[in-house]
Amino acid sequence: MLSILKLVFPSWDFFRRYEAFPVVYVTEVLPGNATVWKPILLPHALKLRHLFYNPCENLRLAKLNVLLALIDEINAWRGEPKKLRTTPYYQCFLRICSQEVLIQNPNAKFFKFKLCHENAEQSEDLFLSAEEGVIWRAL
Amino acid sequence: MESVVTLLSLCLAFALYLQSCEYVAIRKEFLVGGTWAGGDVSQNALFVSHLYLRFVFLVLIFLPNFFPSLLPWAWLGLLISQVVISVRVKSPFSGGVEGLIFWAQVCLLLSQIEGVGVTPIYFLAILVLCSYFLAGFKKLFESGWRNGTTLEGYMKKSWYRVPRFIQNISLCQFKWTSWAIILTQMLLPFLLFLPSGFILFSVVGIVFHLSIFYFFGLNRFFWGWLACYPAVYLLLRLGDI
Repeated sequence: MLSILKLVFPSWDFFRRYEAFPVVYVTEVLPGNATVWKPILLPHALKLRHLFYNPCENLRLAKLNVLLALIDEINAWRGEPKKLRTTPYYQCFLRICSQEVLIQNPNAKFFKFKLCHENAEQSEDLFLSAEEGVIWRAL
Repeated sequence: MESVVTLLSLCLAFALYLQSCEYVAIRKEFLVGGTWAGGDVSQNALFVSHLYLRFVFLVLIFLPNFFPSLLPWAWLGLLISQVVISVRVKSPFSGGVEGLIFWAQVCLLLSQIEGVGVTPIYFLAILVLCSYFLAGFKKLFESGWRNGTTLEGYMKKSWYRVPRFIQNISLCQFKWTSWAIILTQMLLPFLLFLPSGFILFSVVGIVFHLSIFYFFGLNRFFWGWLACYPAVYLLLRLGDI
């Protein structure tokens, strides 16, 4: 219902306020291996042809909208991780992260993701997920 | 007047065609394991099939003389499709431009009804002009826009891949650029009061949207707003009548 309202009543609030943009990192969980975090949802290089056809970048931006909604859910369910894991945006984001993990290793089984400001090595985590099972994607 | 409505219809159909191609390219995101996968396999298959159906509607719009009686149904079909996609994605897929395209489709659909005429197209034109003015007007009340820090943040530390030279730009330059953006957005509708106002409006608008594409990669905004410019032209002609 909210999505229809947003469609019918656009806010025209383009780039109105700036808030720090979190970066998403994923890592495959392997027993005994060191954790290597890899950033995901990074921008693609822009070419003139993308003025007409830019599905990858539009998809990436739509996925980042899911991330923004997830951040709201994380704040709403702080201290209740079990409830957070059942929310629709969390489930949606698990599928996004699973896709990225499967690109890195098609046989991956488990992964974690985290949200950080800027550089993962230097800043504090905004959120660190529990160990999650990879969600397989239709071919 | 009718030719301008036809031009508007074709321009919007072109913008929707580009969108539809992009939706088909990312169709896997709506299947099992995809970002916006639905509950069951048949539901997902039905959703993806409807993405292809959009092209049938678009053919009907691109060839209005072949099936004139089906034209309102084609617009209705595209409108329903857009609502279905927004519900599935739980938000308008590309933000604000979806709202404009939604209203453009509603207005074109209403203008097909006998006796309604082009009044909905005037409404669309006012909506386009308001979208520019309000976007600038709201920024005016944000201190971050007035001192340039908001634009600097979006350009230097955001999810968008902006050109590298941006990293060397000072806050003072961002401040001037911010004011240029605010004034452009707020004054753009008023350019229409000048002689050859529509040409001036179109040129400034195209440059503005091209720069948004260049810096942020938002191609849908370019085509969505440009597609509605014939409605603005029609509104301007209203003064001549």
